[in-house]
Amino acid sequence: MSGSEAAVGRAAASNGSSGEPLLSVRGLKTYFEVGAKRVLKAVDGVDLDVHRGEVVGIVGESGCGKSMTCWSILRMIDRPGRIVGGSIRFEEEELVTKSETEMARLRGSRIAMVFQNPMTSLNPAFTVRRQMLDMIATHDRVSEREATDRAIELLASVGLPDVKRLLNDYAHQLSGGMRQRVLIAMALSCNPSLLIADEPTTALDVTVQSQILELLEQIQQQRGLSILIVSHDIGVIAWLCHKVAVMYAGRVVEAGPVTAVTQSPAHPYTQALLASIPTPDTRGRPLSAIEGQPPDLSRLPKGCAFAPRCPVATERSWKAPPDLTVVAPGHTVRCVLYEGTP
Amino acid sequence: MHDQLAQIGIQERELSISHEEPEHEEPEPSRASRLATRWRVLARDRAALAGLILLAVIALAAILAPLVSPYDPNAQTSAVRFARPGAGHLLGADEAGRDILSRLIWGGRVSLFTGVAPTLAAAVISLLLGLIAGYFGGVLDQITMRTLDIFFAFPIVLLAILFAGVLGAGLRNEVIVITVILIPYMTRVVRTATMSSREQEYVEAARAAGAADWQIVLHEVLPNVVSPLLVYAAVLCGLMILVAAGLSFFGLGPPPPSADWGQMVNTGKSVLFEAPHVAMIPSILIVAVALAFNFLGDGLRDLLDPHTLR
Amino acid sequence: MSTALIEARDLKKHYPLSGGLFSRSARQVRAVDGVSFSIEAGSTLALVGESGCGKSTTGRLLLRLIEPTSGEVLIDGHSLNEMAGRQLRRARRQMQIVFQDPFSSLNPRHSVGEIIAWPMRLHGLGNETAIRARVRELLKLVGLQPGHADRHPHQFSGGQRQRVGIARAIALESRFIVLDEPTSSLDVSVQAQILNLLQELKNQFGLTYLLISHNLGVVEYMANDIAVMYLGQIVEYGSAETIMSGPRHPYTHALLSAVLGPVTGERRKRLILHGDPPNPASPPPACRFHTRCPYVQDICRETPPPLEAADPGHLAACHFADQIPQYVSRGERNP
Repeated sequence: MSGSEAAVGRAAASNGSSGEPLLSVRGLKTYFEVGAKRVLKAVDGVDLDVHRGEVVGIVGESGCGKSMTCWSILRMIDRPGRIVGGSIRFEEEELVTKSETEMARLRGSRIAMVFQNPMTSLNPAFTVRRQMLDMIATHDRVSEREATDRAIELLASVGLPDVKRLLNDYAHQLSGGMRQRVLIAMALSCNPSLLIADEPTTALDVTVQSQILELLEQIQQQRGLSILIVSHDIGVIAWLCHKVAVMYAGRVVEAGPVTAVTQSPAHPYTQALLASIPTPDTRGRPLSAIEGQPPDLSRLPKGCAFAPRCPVATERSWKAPPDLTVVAPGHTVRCVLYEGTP
Repeated sequence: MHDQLAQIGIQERELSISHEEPEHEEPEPSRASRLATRWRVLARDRAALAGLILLAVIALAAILAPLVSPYDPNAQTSAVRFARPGAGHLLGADEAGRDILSRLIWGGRVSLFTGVAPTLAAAVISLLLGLIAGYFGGVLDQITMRTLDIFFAFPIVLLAILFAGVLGAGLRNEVIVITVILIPYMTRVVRTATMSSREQEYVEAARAAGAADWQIVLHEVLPNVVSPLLVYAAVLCGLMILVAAGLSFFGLGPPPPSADWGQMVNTGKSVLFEAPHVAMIPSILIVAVALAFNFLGDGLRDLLDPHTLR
Repeated sequence: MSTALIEARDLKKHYPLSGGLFSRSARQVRAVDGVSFSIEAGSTLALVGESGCGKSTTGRLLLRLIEPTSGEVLIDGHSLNEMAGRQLRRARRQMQIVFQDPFSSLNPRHSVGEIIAWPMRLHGLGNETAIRARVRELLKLVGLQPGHADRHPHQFSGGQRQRVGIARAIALESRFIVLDEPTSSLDVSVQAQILNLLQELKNQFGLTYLLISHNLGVVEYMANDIAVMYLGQIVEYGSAETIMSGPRHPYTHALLSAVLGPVTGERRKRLILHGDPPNPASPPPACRFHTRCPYVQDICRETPPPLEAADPGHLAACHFADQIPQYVSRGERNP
């Protein structure tokens, strides 16, 4: 796949994105009640849209709520965590109010997921075949024979060699990259319309990371799949995604097309994040680090959560959370600097 | 899924400091205030506190036995044989007409001693064995652990009876027996803690700084071993009081008429139906003390966790 | 005569594959298999490679935290491996290490002050008052508050702990510091703080670094020279500029193209390898990279390529080192 073809693919995807999004998250709030009167606002009013055939990334630093947002969409939040507000619409159905049984049926079939650690995501006690067949059998009534055929086909489609032998392998016999491919094959086994990937390449070696990213791009284009991917690495997001949401302290501070956000970041946090990445151009000069630490999620400032570390914070920043402002078509930002601009 | 809380937990810890971090320099907490913090942690733990108080009362009574015991523990007054708990004898009297409360108080000397002394002795020996085996590993470790494995093959009480049978009855032998049967268990705890500590990078940092092995063991490893050992020792103290009572029960403890709790249960068992209090009261005390040590052990674990120190 | 502060000469570290108490196994993992390089005083050499390539083992061999199977390390021209006792302790003062994991590298039972002070006490550097004053000074130097000395490691964030680890490493006024993935467990914004701090300290005290990293962005920012390792061997070695702009080994090229810039504009045709790095216990024969190399020829499966000069001062272990730049320049890196 050359650069130009990929660009065409992207353009097609963004053109086809009219109509109701596949996934639409509005005002999502997930809080953790830890101890008496201490509430961690892990996700605090997140809006997010994923259209059909679109790859959307969430980027941010540890604890910003990016993974929690994914888990909330899958309704996989454990106590003491709880979704306390907002709506999650997926294929025109509301997920927040669905029963646990309905959600279980949905997970793995229409929404599939791939997690960060391929070492622990596979069960060490079972063969690849057993786990693949279980996955297929959970959601589809097919014969063992049919399921095996489908498993072989899926494993081959994610670029695994010598699939028939591999079916009888246990997780520990596979390398990290192969395990992640098996997990992706399992995720695809029921033809999901949305794939949620939480740091899918973080635990892998860099050369293997490239392979997995390329695989994700390839299956996305072959199947017209939608992907919601979470990463701390803005390079990964920039490489793979059409749109990106930048999160800080449980909120989306900036969202828009990847090229817009990475090439002309509007929010001071996005600007600072990009500037802190070492590049050939910064060699020999100090990097512009963001001073201080992210805020305590149980004691968020009244106004903009980034204000305490922001070089351009104004008095207004401290007063109330900034409104959403559109700075360019599809490019939104939550920062007082842009409020009131058309 | 399980990382969710961990994520929040780590965050909570990581973030707490940034919040408390004023620009000016804070006063450094004094040693006294840190002790006060530790005390508050313990006081919050009701069970541990109750255990501590019970043990303190019993230990104090045992030490001050001549002063606090209402009667001579061995004085036999046939008139009050099997006396029920009441005004004259608070906890009643036994089959020989001896005051049970006084015997419990005097017996506490023996029973606490047989619980605590062997545990301390075993702790010191185990610390040495476990640190060496765990830190240096190799052949030394293999020999130590395979030897100890032989002990693990037998139940603790069976071993105690076996040894006591060979050595003969008496307080000194009882202490030796209990020490010996404790060593394998405590050594294993020390060794495990040592091995996990020596894997840590701070040990490598110490070596890079030019520390010799013995310095690394004392400065880096030992602090991480002592607290699990202490917690375990507290729990074992309780268990060993039970074992000591058991040995006395089988007549392998100190010879009569010296009062100890196990023997009191033993003599009381023959009159269990006529005068249940003679056996029940020391039994209850034995169980209570064992539990108290357990609670104290749990409390110590929280107390010694560096994370509780703020 | 160059002014090499540290020199590694044909270092090898082979670990036997353990088979338990009663079995003797002849198989071994060649974690480091003939590594040589030198680091000039005041410069930074980066060891780059993927997990299992032996870069961390090499770092530990340099400090003699582990004993080499063969080969030696020279500090100021003296063999570290022949030293013992007092002389070795003195040499240890010259070299320190900063670890990747800011959790396991600080003893949770000690206060931060104790952690930083202990190396100084070991070497008898002054009395308690002097040491305590020095601890406060060091804390300030790494961007923490002197009052933090009484706190315990768990009360700090990952970045702050890493600062404590750095303070400990410079406490002995060492000249040479091994940085073992110093920022890989940190967020990018914190990573930038730590990288800045390391550069400041280097300039202030004329430190020499060995930077172990898999992150080429960090390496490009920090290093003067780069050694790329693959399965226990150096496959390419040269100045940072030459390697970053014109790699002569296909593995280096693949590593470079795995670096994802934050700006989509620089999306380029990339060299993507197949498969995972092989198991270091059974490396492929001849050229160890041949199983994943896109340009593999028969000779690569038969003869191991020597590490030799592709250009003056630029070494590469590839039979086709001369042709790699053509592959690279064919639009495969940089537009």
